[in-house]
Amino acid sequence: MNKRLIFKIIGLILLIEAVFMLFPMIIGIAAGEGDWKYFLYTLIPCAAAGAGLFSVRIRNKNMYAKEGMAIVGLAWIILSLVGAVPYFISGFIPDYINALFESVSGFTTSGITVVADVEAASHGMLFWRSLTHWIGGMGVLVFMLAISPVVGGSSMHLMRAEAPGPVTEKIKPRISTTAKWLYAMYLVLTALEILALVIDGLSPFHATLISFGTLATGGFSYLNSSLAAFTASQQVIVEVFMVLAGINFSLYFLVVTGKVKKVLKDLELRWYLIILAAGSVLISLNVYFTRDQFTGFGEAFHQSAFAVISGMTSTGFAAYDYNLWPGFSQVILLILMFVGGCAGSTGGGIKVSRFVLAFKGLRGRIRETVNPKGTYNVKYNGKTVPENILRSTFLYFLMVMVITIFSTVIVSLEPGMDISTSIASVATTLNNNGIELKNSLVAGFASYAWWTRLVYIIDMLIGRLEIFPVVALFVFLFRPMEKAAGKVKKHLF
Amino acid sequence: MRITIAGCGRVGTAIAMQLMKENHDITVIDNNEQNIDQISNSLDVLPVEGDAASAQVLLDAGVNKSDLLIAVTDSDIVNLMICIIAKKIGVEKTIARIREPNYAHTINLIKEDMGLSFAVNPERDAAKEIMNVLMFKGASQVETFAQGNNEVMTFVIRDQNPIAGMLVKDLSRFINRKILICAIKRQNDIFIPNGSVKLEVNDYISFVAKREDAIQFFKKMKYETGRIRDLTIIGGGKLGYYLADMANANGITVRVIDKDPELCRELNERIPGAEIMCGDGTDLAVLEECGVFQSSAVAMTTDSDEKNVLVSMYLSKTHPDIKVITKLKKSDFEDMLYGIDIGNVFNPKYIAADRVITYVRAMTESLENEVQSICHVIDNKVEVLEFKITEMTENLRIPLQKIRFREHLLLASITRNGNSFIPGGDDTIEVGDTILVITTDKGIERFSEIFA
Repeated sequence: MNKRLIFKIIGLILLIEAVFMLFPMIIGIAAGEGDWKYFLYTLIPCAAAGAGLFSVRIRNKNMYAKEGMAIVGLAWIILSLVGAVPYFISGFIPDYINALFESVSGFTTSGITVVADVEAASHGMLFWRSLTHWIGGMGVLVFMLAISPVVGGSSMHLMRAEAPGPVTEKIKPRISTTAKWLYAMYLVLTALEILALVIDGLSPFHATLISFGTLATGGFSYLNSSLAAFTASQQVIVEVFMVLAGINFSLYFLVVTGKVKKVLKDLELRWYLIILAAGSVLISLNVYFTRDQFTGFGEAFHQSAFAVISGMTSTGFAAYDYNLWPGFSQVILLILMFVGGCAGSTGGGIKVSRFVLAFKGLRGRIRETVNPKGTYNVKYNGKTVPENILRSTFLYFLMVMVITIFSTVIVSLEPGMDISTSIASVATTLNNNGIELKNSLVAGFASYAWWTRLVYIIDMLIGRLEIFPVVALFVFLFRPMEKAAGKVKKHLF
Repeated sequence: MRITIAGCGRVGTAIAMQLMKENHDITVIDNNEQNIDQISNSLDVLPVEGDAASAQVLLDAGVNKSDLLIAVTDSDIVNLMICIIAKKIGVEKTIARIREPNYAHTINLIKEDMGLSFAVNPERDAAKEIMNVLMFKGASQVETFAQGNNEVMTFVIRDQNPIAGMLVKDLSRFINRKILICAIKRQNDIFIPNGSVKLEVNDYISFVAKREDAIQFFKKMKYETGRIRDLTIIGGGKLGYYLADMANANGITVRVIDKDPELCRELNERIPGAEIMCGDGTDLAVLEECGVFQSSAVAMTTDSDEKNVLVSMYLSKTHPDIKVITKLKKSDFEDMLYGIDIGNVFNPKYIAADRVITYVRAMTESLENEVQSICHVIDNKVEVLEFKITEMTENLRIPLQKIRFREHLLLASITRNGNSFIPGGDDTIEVGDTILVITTDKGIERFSEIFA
């Protein structure tokens, strides 16, 4: 392993984080709040450590898949650990594990908060929370690739380990240009939403917070009631941008370059929109006919669509108390959480393209079983899908299942936890979602045992990085321990 | 510039790697999934899987917006076809690899009709370079510049060489002639030496000198400077054929050994002057029988790197008088075998890449001084660039000692009015000069980039 290169990149990530921390500090100073100094206390050692690691002289720029995954796994953990420091030392969140939860929830764009009263939070803290969403949405390593040529040709391993989806493809020949384009489109969409919300009467500061949360499909709000207090038109603006954030960003590039036809033919986009529409219709009918909470079908549909979009794109804004909804609607929402957004978007979940691939692969297998002499290529967007991609797609489902089961079992050990709460809480963390079907996290989180909270934290990281980088990192950490254990065994027996 | 490379086997990858370092936007197309996987993991290029001879694949890959297409798939015919299609969909310049001897001879006739800008033939180019070395026995690589006025030669310091242990600055006094050591390879380290570097056994040395001075230098070191009289080529593939043909035309007695009787008959018909023998060139008995051990030079040009290396190692060890030439497809073997004598190594893919890059740099039009030609010495790691100076150049007529140059760079020679000399601190750059620059940094395109 090229350890020097890993150190250097981690150093650069720390420097980037220190620079980002300047923003909440400045906002804190501008708002005349006293807690800006906590950002300064964090960013100075962070920058110093970053500069120290960055000055490591590398012997070569060679990187392989394992370095890529180790770097991404490590970078995200370190990013979260440092990001939690201002919450902790300022006393905003007095318990470090809770602060870490908030930080991981921010970076992984989960948007589940442990702060009981966000309305009392200072401007600086609010801004930092939402900014972590924005950084984590498109990814900090992609940001690094856009601004710095530290790594040579093999930097694709970093992009692949961080960007979500079964296959990661470049949109321009060079990675740095690809990364720049992705961030440019991300920035433009963010700016558009801010503009739209400001026109609709939100203050620029609040519009920025909400837009960071929307485009990153995060879900941190500045109100305790999430978006329930927003006007209908503001909710519609947020809805539109949530849908946009859940779409593969490389499709926007095709739009920019005038290849709209190709975009309209994209299989994942079609299914994404179909699922959104079907989910909204099903839930609106269900809630309209079972409860009379709504004045008319129009309102029921609006609320259902908001919930479906927020749930499927993994944003997790709530405009309603979903605990009051009938079981069918809640189950649909739970399923949509697992489906998630499109590959290459900022959304979480398993991703629509994996579902499409898996179902197509399943159909092919069934046809082959029925008609053993037939040849059935699995096609995706008109191209035959290589066998190894199908295999890794199936494996991904299996791993999600395993992790969901394990996590559910562990959190169910918590006293007072019931079966639906334990499943719903794992679903919302693992899929970086933030919708709280059982009100589980806000109500009881701070009182959970540390290991339950740690399970949620790890689940969020696993969900954002799509399992492998985190697992790979654990493997790297455990290998030396295994070796040591082996030596001890030899001596004993 | 936007460049598309069709086919990313060895040559395609070597070209892509070079061009990537020079900051071009590169798309590679190949229908082999493994090739595509490998290149997308190691190089910052846009990989496209598909058959490049299909217009649809080319259009999907956005090739119509490329400035240049380089077709280097396995097949000459497919390469030509790709270039024709590319031309049709709007690519301005195309380069095709044509290496089959029959086509290579005809290609100049039809090049313009096909819309081909340039045909690259790695095997023939490699054969040319090998010929340079055969004409100068002591050197392991010879590159000619400034219309033959100037040469960059490479050799290895063997045991008992009088210059081993000498400082670089004392060399000129030792040979009484002006030569300039421009690069040294020691272990895996390649550097441009200053005067206080001590020369060691096993060092690879590149130097710039005029031919007569180089001959004197080699004579002082007791290296042979004459040409080879007779050559044995083991492996009658494309490189073997081109080499045999050229050597034969230059009056060298040629003997070719190949396993394939069919190929032997064909070679016999094509090169009547050469002696063709049919047998396994890795068989000691066959080598003995064919009198290989009595030849003054042996070129290993079989398809298998392993065989080439093995026989070269054996020959270098048992018959140190024989000049051994080894063709390698994989460059890694050279690094793995550091310190083991496997003769003079030639790698057709790098030679082809040099040709293509020279063409690409000349395409990057600028008012400034373009690179006239470029080549690589010592494992492809040191770059030699030739510039022609025009009015636009900065630092004209200023003594060199007052100019600050870029690091890892050496201004090796100035050719003025057909006269080459190694510049000193008081010399100046004048309009009309041809200047040779040596650097371990890659990707210098304009003359102005040599200044700090």
